[in-house]
Amino acid sequence: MKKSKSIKQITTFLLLLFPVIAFSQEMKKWYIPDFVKAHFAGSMGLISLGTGFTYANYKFETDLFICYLPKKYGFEYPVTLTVKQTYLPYTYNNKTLRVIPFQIGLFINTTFEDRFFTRATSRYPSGYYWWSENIRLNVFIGSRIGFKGNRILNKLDLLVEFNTNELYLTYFFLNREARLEDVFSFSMGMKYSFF
Amino acid sequence: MVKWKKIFTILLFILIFIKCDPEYHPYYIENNRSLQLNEKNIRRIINEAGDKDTLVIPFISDTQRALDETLDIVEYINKNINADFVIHGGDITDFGLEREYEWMHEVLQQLNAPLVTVAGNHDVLGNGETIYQSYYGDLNYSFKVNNVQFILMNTNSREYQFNGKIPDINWLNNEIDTTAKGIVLVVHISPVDPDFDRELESKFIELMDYYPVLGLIHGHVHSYKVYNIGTGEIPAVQAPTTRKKKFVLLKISEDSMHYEEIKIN
Repeated sequence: MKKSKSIKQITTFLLLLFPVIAFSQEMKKWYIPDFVKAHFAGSMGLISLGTGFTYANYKFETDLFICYLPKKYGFEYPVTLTVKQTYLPYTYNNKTLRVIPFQIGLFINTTFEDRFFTRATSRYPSGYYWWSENIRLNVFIGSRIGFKGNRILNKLDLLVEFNTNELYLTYFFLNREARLEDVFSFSMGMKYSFF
Repeated sequence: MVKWKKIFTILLFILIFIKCDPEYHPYYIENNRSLQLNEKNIRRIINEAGDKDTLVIPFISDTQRALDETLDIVEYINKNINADFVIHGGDITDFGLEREYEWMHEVLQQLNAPLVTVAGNHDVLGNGETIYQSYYGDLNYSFKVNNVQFILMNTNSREYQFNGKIPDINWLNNEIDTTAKGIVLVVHISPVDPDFDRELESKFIELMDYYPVLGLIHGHVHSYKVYNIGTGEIPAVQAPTTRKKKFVLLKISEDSMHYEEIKIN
């Protein structure tokens, strides 16, 4: 319980720090993030704000998201955290468009609910429940498009994603009745690159 | 690599063209839903079967993660059994998630006969208890059909850290209808299971011995078994999981309870 309280303080701190990270792009130090993102839905919150790094010739991205989840959806602490890894194998460019036909990746989301268990063995006999309630492992596939025109447009990408998690996948693999559209969820977002 | 590129592109296009809903979080609660399915179905049971001497009741249990097999059983019951109503012995879901409740509800609502449920230990995980209530209603309730009282209650003591309140013995004591000629207890976890509160076990069994209990039926263990509880040797019937394509067929009158395991193909 104590541990999760300190995590809550860290999250709140990061939330306050976020605008500072986001708007300090004037300096090009290695620790300055390459982009900011805003994301709607995506099994981590209603609205999420993220930042992170691009590397390996623009083929990989690593993000950290702070996600807002209204309490009315059943959460006592309305913030969750997500670490996301994306692989972007191909980018196509022409005069007006910048298209990433597909991107795949995974993300780990954690909630800070004291009622939820992080490891089942903290409350139950060993082997009672195999999963974690606080930590969710998700996989996703998505697509991106950017329009070229002016300085701002050149740095802005719109993205759509479809994600599912390990719990839904157990249903998908065991049942004909659980179809792709049942286990996958739609989400969308945008990315603004600094450089 | 080219092959993977094709597979991912095809998958992406399929996902774009089928209707996927956005999701805020797997543990979210859908607000403003109050279906009260158990209460509605009890009214149907009393209207349709209120004057029958012998009630025919398929007892299914532990349907979690078995959408296909449970649907097969639902279709079998609709086709082959003239059921007065169906009892679900708990563990409707595996993780207590909103979407699981929705998927299993889509399967169970295809039953022609009315359904009543008890909550299992998996059903109250996460935000599951709130979601269960928004679909089915209270966790403890009872109803009487032609001199037989059915008492359905939450016995998932471990999920409440054995706090001494689950199962609610006072509620049970007050709820028992002393004019009933027979009582059937429906729970998810048997009083002799390690997940049942040890402190409450003897009180629970004392009540069972004192009143004319025809039998106790429960789920949780996933296999069929019949054994006796209490000094009065009350039959306890443990239902198999529907994943095994099995259920128990009960025939209950005011002085007896018959049971039989049924395996479908």
